[in-house]
Order: sequence, then structure tokens, then C-alpha cells
Amino acid sequence: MEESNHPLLEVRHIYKRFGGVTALEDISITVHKQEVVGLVGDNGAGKSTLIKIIAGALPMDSGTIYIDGKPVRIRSPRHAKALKIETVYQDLALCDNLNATLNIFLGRYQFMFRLGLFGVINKRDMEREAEKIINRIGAEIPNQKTLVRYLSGGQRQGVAIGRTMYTEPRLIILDEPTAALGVGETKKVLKLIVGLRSQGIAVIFISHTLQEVFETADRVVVLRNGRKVGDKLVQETSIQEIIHLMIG
Amino acid sequence: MRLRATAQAVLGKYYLYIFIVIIFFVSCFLSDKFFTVRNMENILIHNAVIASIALGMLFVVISGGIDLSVGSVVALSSTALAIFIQAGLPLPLAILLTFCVGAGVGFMNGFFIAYTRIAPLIVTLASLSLIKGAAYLLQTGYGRRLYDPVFDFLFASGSIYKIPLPVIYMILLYLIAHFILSSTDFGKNIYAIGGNKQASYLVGINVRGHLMAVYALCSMLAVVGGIIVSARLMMGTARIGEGYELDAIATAVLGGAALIGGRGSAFKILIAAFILGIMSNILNLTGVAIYYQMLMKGGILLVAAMAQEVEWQS
Repeated sequence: MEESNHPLLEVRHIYKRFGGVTALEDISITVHKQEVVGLVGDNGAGKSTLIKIIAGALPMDSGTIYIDGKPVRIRSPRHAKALKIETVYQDLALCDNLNATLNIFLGRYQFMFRLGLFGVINKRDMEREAEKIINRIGAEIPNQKTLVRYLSGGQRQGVAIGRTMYTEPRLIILDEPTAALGVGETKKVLKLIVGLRSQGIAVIFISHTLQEVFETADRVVVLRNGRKVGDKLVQETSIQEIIHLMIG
Repeated sequence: MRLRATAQAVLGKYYLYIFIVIIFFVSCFLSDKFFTVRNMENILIHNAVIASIALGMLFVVISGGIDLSVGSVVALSSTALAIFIQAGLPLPLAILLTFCVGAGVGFMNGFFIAYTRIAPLIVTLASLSLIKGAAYLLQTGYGRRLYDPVFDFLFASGSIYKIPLPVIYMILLYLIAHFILSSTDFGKNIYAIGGNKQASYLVGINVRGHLMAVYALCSMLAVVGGIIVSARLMMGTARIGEGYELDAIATAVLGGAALIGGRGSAFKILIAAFILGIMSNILNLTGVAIYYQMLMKGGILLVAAMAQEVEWQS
């Protein structure tokens, strides 16, 4: 039964210190189902730290995390995936020497049968599945057999996101997805993000380009020096205001 | 302009096949002894050794590493096999134990490579000396004579329908290797590790396990080479395998495996092994001094590396 009153993800009063430096201080944010949240802030504001905690890659010092209203402790990246939270980091973690299908199914191949220690891969089914995933998210990859190293930045981002789709996540976190992309590619990736929302997936994405956030996100959360200084619906604020909040 | 691009593309993709055909015909022309049954047999058998070792090297190279110790493993397997056989063990057991010795060396290499940050080049360079030393220690006196009719049949003189058995083993090994690399998770994981070790780790591939397996596999394939050589010589000795690692690496590179990892295919390695084998053979037949042969080998390797560059550009 759908827990329709609870937000998908809620983090409350998160603190994180690295030695003498406080990276996150009393951070509380909420993400609702099918919501795109833009996480912005200047360098060192704590954005990466926050998403790493949600992704299970970093433990927090204190605070609570709720998923569907239930408290959880996210122990590891694998645990986060089991909780249906997937993350795409900036370097995309792709194998350039393999094609899109293999990258999407990396380490989680579909088998035809097993032969002792080896599993015989079902290439045809995998290709079909991969094609479905690629079409679902709207990435334009004309030939799935091309090695990923020959794909454009936007297509690579599509493959990286496609890999996360395989487990049917409810929340996808993207760390600066458009950082290295040109104008046209950026537009495609932003379209992709909006597409994720229409698939029923919530998105948190970190960005340094406020224009993008305002075009794509429903809500924008601003961090500064480890604290949350803004949490506004995009329609109720302006780029000017956000910049103001970012730099104080 | 388009013609040049097309020529480049064709050359890049098919240079190996073009190469072998040219070499074959040129050899027929250079010596009338070349295209004889006896000579073809010679080539095939000599190739079976290097091709087996090169196959092991292929796996290691695809994973992004290198194994300089294969030549020493050939030597060690020869002396170990002699010891087992002369100790009176039945042949199948002796061979099995020899493979275990090879696997042990491989796992040792793999362990250091997987669990420490020491580069494979260094680890296997150290192994090269260690294993060779061990081989010499195990070999007391002059070589240990190895005469066992079954052994001789299986690995030296036996044949089925005129095809020497070692060649059949080589073909079988290559078929299995091709299957593993193209159609199994293990194979694809090896490519992945060679392409991006960190990403492979992040998606949950057991990188360490795969690395150890790959080096063990490489050493075991070197054992195959060692067994064949021992059978041909009819003795177990540590004085073999010298320089085999370089031949194996040259074969792998000529066959399109990138030393940085992530690329390579079994079939092309086989062709490369034959190219180098035919070259050695024809140079011997025409009485060319060994020094010229070394020059040629080096030259071929450079040309092959350049041809690869061309292929990667297009």
C-alpha cells in the first residue's frame, strides 16, 4: 500500500565533521516522490558530503534519515541501492572499452545458463533490455554496440543513468550531471532528468548553473558553509534570490 | 581523401590477415622447403608452445597487467614434472601436480598484484627470478631424463589424422578462451577491470578474485607450454623458457591486445603467433643469421603497434 502522506526521503538534523572542519551542520531536507530537487551552493558548501551520506558512501555523525516515513540507517552504497537510492557520481564510472549494453549491465549480467564457475551471458536479451531502458530515459544512442569511449558526454551520462535504472530506483542522485557538457548536450541531459520524474522517480541533482536548476527542478535547496540557508519552490523564488543566499 | 580514409580503415582492421597471407606466400617463394608437410608440422608444433603461453598472456594483458614470469614457469614446470614422474607417480597425477605448481605460482603473483599496490611488472619481474631460481634448485645434475611412451605420445609425437596432438590442444584451448572472453561474465569482467578498475569495483565485481584467477590461468597455460617442450626434449630441465615472456608479449601486442588493458581477442593472437612462427621458420630455412631475425622481430612489432594506432584512430 502506498504511503502517500510521507515524503519519499527525509533527513533531519544531519551533522558531519571531518577532523576540525564541520562539513554539515543541522541539515534537514525533504524529497517528495516524483520531485526534482536542485542542490546548490558554492564550493565547499557541503553538497557532495550530503549526497554521499544519502548514497551510503559516508556515515553521518548524527541525524536521522527517513524513507517513506520509516527511520533507516544507510550503511553502505549497496544498502542504499537496496533501499532504491541510486547515485551517479561525476566521473560516471563507465568502462570506455565496453559498449552501452555492457556498461548498463556491468557486473549484473543476465545469464542464459551457468557452466560451473562461469555464467554464459545472454547478450540478446541484455541488448533488448538495455534498449528499453535507453528509450525510457530518452537518451539518444543510435548504436548500442558502439564503445562508450566514442559516445558524447551527454550519451555517456545517459548510459550512466541507464545503469541505475536497472534496479528500478525511486530516487536518483546526480552529482553535477552537466558539468562537462556543451549547450546542446546539457539540454538533452536536463530533458532526461525531467523524463525521470515522469517515470515516477525522484531526483536530487547538484548543479553550479542556476539557470539549469530553474529550468528543471521543482525545488531548490541552498547550502552555505555546511548549513541549509534556503529551501524554496522554484516558482516562488528567483535566481537573484538564490545567488544571494549562496554567497550570503 | 576518402580513398585514404578507407584504405586506413581496411588496413587497420585487417592488417593481421593481410600480413599472414603475404608472409605465407613470400615464404613459399623464398624456399621450396617451406610448403612441405614436414615443415608445416614443425611450424605448428613450435607454435603450439608459444601460442599457449601467449594465450595466458592475453588474459593478463586484457586485465591491464603483464606477466614476466611465464618463461620461468615453463622452466619450473619442466623440472617439477620430471621430479614427479621420476618419483614414480602415475602420469596423470604427475601432470595434475605440475599444473597445481603452476597455479600456485600464478596465485602468488595474483595475490601480490591484487592486494598490494606493487605494479604487475615488478611483481612478475621478481617472480621471474624467484621461479627460475627454484627451477634450477629442483634440477640436480644435468637434466632429468624423461622417457615415458605415453607421455611422449600425448605431448610430442602423437597425432590424430596427421594433426599433431599439441596442435589439437592449442586449438581446443583457443576455442575455450574465445568462448570465455566473448560470452561469459568472467570474460567481460576481465575486460571491465582492464578498462576501468575502479568502476568495476564500484559495481560490485570482485576485482581481486578476478585478478588472482587471471594470473593463475596465465601460469597454468605456461605449464602447458612447458610440458610440450619437455616432451619434445625428452627431459626435464630448467634451461628452457628463456625469453618466452618476450615472445608472448610480442605475440599479444601483434595480435591487437593493448598493454594498457581492456582490449584483445583470442583469434587474433593465434594469427599473430603464426605470423611470428612462420617468420622464424622461413628465416631459419633460408639461413638468415639469428641477428637479422631479431631485427625483423623488433621491426614487425613496431609496425604492428603503428597499425594498431591507425585502427584506434578510425
